[in-house]
Amino acid sequence: MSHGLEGRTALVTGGTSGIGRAVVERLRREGMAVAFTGRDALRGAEVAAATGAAFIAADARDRAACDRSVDEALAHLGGRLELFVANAAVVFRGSIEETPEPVFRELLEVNLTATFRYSRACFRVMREQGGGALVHVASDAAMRGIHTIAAYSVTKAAVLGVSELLAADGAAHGVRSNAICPGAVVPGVQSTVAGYEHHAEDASGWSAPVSARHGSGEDVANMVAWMASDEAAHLSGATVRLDGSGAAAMRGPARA
Amino acid sequence: MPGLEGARVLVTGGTSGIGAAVVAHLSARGARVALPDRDAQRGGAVAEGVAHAVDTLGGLDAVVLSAGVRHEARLSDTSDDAWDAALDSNLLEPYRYAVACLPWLRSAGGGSIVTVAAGSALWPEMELGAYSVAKRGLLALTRMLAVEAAPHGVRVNSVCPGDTAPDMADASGVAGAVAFFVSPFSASCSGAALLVDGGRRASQRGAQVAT
Repeated sequence: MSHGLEGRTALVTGGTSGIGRAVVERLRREGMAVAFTGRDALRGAEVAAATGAAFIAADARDRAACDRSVDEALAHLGGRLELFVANAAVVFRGSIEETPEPVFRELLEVNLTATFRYSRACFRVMREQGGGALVHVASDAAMRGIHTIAAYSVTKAAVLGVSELLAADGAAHGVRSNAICPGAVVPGVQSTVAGYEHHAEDASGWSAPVSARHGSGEDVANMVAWMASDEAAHLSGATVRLDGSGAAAMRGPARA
Repeated sequence: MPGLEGARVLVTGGTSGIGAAVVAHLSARGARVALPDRDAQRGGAVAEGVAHAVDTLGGLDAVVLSAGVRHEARLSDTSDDAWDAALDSNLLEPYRYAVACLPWLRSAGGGSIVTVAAGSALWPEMELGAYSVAKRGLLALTRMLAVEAAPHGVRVNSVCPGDTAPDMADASGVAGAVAFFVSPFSASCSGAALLVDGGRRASQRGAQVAT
């Protein structure tokens, strides 16, 4: 399906793997000019070669690098930005009490602060040019909280606040902002807090989906493409749960 | 209120505003209240500050986390410094105190943690951008803590004051809600968020929230 996005421009954070990569691929197939960030230069070069999108090396923990990457993206995209997709995030498995402060801070920095700072920079470009769309990839953990990834859940809940507030700020300027809360997406979040690479999610341990299958990066990419399109012109300040009814079907232990 | 007599309570942010009203409310009902050393707080020695307060109180039954800096700006106009300050005081600091206090409450066989969030944690306020985001995070933190503390008899709840002028009438209403969560009357509550805003949210109309 085509969404009339041809010739428009997009910046995607965390585009070297998983959901982010699926988004980059989908937006390129729509004919958009795409720049994407990531911290793995090898994977970035591979995705760039496969899709024709521009890779910009930037670690979301590095504020100066993030700022530079926005400038580089704009230079590559001819100074216009119709779509920004905040996707980069890291995970840490554990309760709040098991989350050491440096880990808590890194989760805040990457998942929340970098999302805010990228969104703010892109918002200002869009406000200036008279319109644009921000899409925040949050998580169903943002809506219901998942106690096995407690601090991650906290950061994602706060991301929903960022998305809603920028929708409010952007309403008068044609800037839309929406959030997607994917449920279990295979293969799970692979990017972790530094030093906790073994915390990457392992989909083989997940309980069976209530619908036919778990989610895929393409499911999220489909929603991103639609949110970016003119069909979604009136969609702003929305949070879409995208989980194949996983949360709707959830029951307390007594009723499981 | 019965159930507060002799309760040993640590209150952050207890020197002004809602925190001060909480201290007055609890003290007037027989609770023993300690405020953490502000210097220790600034030095990042939260655990030591908590240990000192527990020592002073002779134990710990409840913790009220009411410190937090309010910053007025739209999110799109918020500076890095204001953002960092909002997250640090409204989210990171409650995290630090909760983690430092949990072992004491657990070893006492139970207790209560009350976070003071904000109405804007439930519905973000445009003019309180970073503050709303941080309070939303605090509410999520409260719910996560409620889950993990439950097996140890520790309850964790949140009071969400509306966006009202910090006059004493409003503050004492908020303090009453905090006292409820400190007291055994709320024994069946954990992970709850109680909006205390004088009915403002319920009466809000579209035109009143327009820019």
